[in-house]
Formats: sequence, structure tokens, C-alpha cells
Amino acid sequence: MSKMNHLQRIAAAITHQKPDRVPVVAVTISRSLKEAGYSLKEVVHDASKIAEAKIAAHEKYGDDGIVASLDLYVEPEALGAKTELREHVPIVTEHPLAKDKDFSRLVKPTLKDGRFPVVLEEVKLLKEKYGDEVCIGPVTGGPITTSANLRGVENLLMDMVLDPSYVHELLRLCTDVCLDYYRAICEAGAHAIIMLDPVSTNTIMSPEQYQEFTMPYQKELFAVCAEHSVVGVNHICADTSLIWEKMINVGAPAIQIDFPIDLEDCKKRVGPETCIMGNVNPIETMLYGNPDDVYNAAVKCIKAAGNQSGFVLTPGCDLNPKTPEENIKALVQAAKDCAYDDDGNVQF
Amino acid sequence: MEGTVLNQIVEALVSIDRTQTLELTKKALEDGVDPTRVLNEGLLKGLLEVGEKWNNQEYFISHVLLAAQALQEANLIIEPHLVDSDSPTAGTVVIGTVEGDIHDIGKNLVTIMLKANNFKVYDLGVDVAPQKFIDKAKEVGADLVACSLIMSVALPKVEEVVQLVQDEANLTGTKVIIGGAPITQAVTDQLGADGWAPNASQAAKEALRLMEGA
Repeated sequence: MSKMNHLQRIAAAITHQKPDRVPVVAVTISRSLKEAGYSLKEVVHDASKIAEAKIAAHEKYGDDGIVASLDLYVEPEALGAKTELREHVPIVTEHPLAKDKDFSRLVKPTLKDGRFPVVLEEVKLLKEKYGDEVCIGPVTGGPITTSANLRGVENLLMDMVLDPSYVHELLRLCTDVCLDYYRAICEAGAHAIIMLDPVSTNTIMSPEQYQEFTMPYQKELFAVCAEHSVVGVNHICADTSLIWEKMINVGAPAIQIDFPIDLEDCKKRVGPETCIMGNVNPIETMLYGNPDDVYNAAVKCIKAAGNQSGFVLTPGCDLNPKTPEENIKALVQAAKDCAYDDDGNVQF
Repeated sequence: MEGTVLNQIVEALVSIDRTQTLELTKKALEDGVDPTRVLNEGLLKGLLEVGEKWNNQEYFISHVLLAAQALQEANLIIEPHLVDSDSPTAGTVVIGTVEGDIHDIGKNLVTIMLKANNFKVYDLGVDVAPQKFIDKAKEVGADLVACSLIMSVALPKVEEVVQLVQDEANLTGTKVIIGGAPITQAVTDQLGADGWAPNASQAAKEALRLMEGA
């Protein structure tokens, strides 16, 4: 099969065509700053430096996609959550609705506020550099995760039982902010948007709560992606095995699966319509393992979910900045060593 | 008679009925039931059952939080009636979310389940510097230091806590237990901690196990 470029390879996986080999995204968001020698403080409001770091990481590792943006606090920050920069990531230090749940005093931000312009500019710069050669997609927070960052996750979980209509009203506000943001990301030239929705995980929300409080709003946002022919990725951290059948029904053609999950079981249950991304353990294997451990774990993932396309090899989550370089190279190498045979099965 | 009202308290808490829990707690005290029994054989027993249901995925965190809140309110009713007794505890724990991480839900749930299992718990909150764990552990003579984290960038801080506990002559016998999204057995071994758990109700069991070895 003729060689594909990075974007074509991922597009083939998403559309269940046969790629020339298994696509891989190393998810080096915070790691990329190290590649360019920047601290978080130096880059957080500087799109060109962030883009420079992402380019440095991509050029070094040769993976197929670049994850734009730095974190999932862009939306809550613009809505009034206080954040502080730490060594590698920002953290939320104050939830504006924790004590007083009334959100009428929050000001609905425009796309000129907070770090929205930084992310949009980063996407534009990456697109200028790579055009349709490399898959470019920013991470954003999902509406329920943004709501939790505003209200505090424990309060929000109790609200879901005691005052569900309040939760829906807050979700409406967060989703409206996201709708504008998603349109702008699509117009900036992104190929994909990765919605990070850690609050929806099975260890925090029940499947019924996912259905009631997450799905309708995810659907609205992934519909924006679909209108713009942009690939929506539904990424929920940790264990999601109780909600896979629901996760594939919100209009996202791909789901990203974190590490504690058996991908073979996932592939069976998810079926042939959805692309699975995952799931080498970002800590135990990527951070603390050696290159052989990484390679073997990657091969295991590919064998479990790679057959008949519909699979992109990734770590379960963003890599720790201290992840050894050789381990990231071993992850990418495993995908490069893996082609599809005439029956659509993976061969090493 | 006493058994009935205690069972009713357990039932009310397990069905997450706040009003009923508070009313039955008042009734039990009026009927002259020993306040320690109301707490241990009513409220805490109920919370343990909620924890079990959570473990079996019949319940989710919303339920646990609401049950814990009802228990806390009921405890305010009981407290004035409690004779200040030095009743034996399962052990003393200093807990916190490590520096660089502000996620507190896991830590709070572990605290709830530890208390339900009769541990004395000192909660240092979130974004806790390694030395703070050590200072508090020395002050209260902690049996266990419990570190919570979700973000992997905070892992080196856990390693620091483990090292500081090992280096501190006054903390011989103090064990470190860890938990949070990135933690597995292999990561626990790597960091040199004594124990770990994948969720809060298992964390309480792991804490009890570590106390047996103490």
C-alpha cells in the first residue's frame, strides 16, 4: 500500500478504511514544553511558543497527530474560576460557585476573553505549518467537567440528586460558551477536537447520571464538529466500561480509553462504527517502564483493538513530562512496525 | 427495642433519607439509647453499608456524599450527649492531597470511609507539601500517612513523603498508603509506599490490613 501522510492515516482509522500502518499519537502535551525548553509560565499566554513546543515534540517523535491547547481549564477560567500555574499544569484554586451556587453573577465570556484566543491562535499556527499533513486537534473540557470546575465536583454530584434542574441550567451556560468555542476551533482549521470529560467517569458519575447530565450536552458539541467535518473525540479518564455503549452515541466518531481497560472487550462491545484510541498505561508503563515494556504494551493494545482498522495507538492520558524519551520513541516505533494485511488484520 | 431503632437508622441512612435519619437519631436519644451505640451501630453501620453498595456499583458517589452529609448532621445531634471517652480507635491517619494537586473528592471519600471504620483522621486538605505530612504525623503520632493524587505530575511529591517518613526517626512504624487515578501495585512499589487501593472503601480495608501488620 502506498505511504499515507499522518492525517490520511488517522482519517483512515476514523473512517474504518485500511491505513498503511497503525496510526499513533503520543499525547505529549505537557512533555512538549520540555522538548522546547520552556516552562509553563513562559508559554501559557503565548500561542507561538506553545505551537513551537508542539512542533518540536512532533518533529522529534514523528507521531501522527498534534494535541493543541494545554489543559481543560480554559473554559472555567474564562467563566471565573481562579487558577494558579504550577510547574507543569495550571490548577483550579477557587471554584466560584462553591459557596453560593447562583451563577447569574458569572459573566458569560466572549472568545476574546481568557485563554480562548491563545488556543485558537495555536491551532492556526499549527495549521499554517502542517496544513493537511498532520492531524491537529485541541483538547477542551466537556460541559459537565467545566460545571464541576465552577461548582466543585462534590457539590455538583449532590446537586444532581437534590436539584437536578439547577445542574441543567448550569450545563446550559457552560455548553453555550463551548458551542461558540467549538465553532471557532473548527473555523481555525482543526481536524479534530478532543473533549476531555473526566467527571463523567464511572468512578465519579453513575451511568444514569452520564445519560442525564453529560450526553445531551456532548451531543450538541459533537454536532458542531460534524457540521464542520471535524472529528470529535470523546475522552473520559479512568474506568468507563459501564458507559461505552452510551459514549458511542453522542455523535463522536472516536472514543479515547484510559489505561485500566481491556481493549479487546472494548472493541467487541463498541462494534465496528467507532474508532478506539488507547491505551498504554501512561504511568506504570510509559513513565516507569523501559522501552521494551512500552513496545510490548503497545503491541498488546494493537493486537487487542487494531484489527479491521478503527484504532489509533495512544497512551491512556497525557504523558508525564518526565517520561523517558526512549519510551515515547518505542511507542511510536511499535505503530510503525505494524502494517495491515489483505484481510485487514495487523501484522508485525 | 433498642435494636429496632438502630436498625431503622441504618435503613434510613442506606436509603439516603436525611430527614428520617435525623428524626430517628433524635428519637433514639430520647428513648435513652446509648449515644455511642447510635453512632456505631446505627449511623456508621449504615455508612459502611452505603460503602459496600458503592463498592458493588449499586451506588455512586452522589449517594455516598449525601449519606455522609446526613451522618455529619446526625453526629451534631449526638455529640453533646457523648461522654468524652478514650474509646480505642482502629488507628490514627494523617491524610491529604499532595502538593501540586487540588483534587479532593477521592481524599474526602477515603476520609469518610476511614472514619466509618473507626480511624482517627487528620485531614490536611489539598496541595499539601511533603514536610506538612511529616510534621502533622509526628505531632499526632500517626500510624498511617495517606497521600491522594489524581494528576501524575504530582507523583514525585508522593515519593518525597515516602522518603521523609523513612528518614524520620520519630516515625518508625508509620506506614504510607497511597491512592488515586495513576496508582497501581507497580507504581506503589516504584514509589516505595506500603499500601494502595483502587477506591475509597478498599482504602479503608487496606488501612485495616496495614494496622494488623503494625
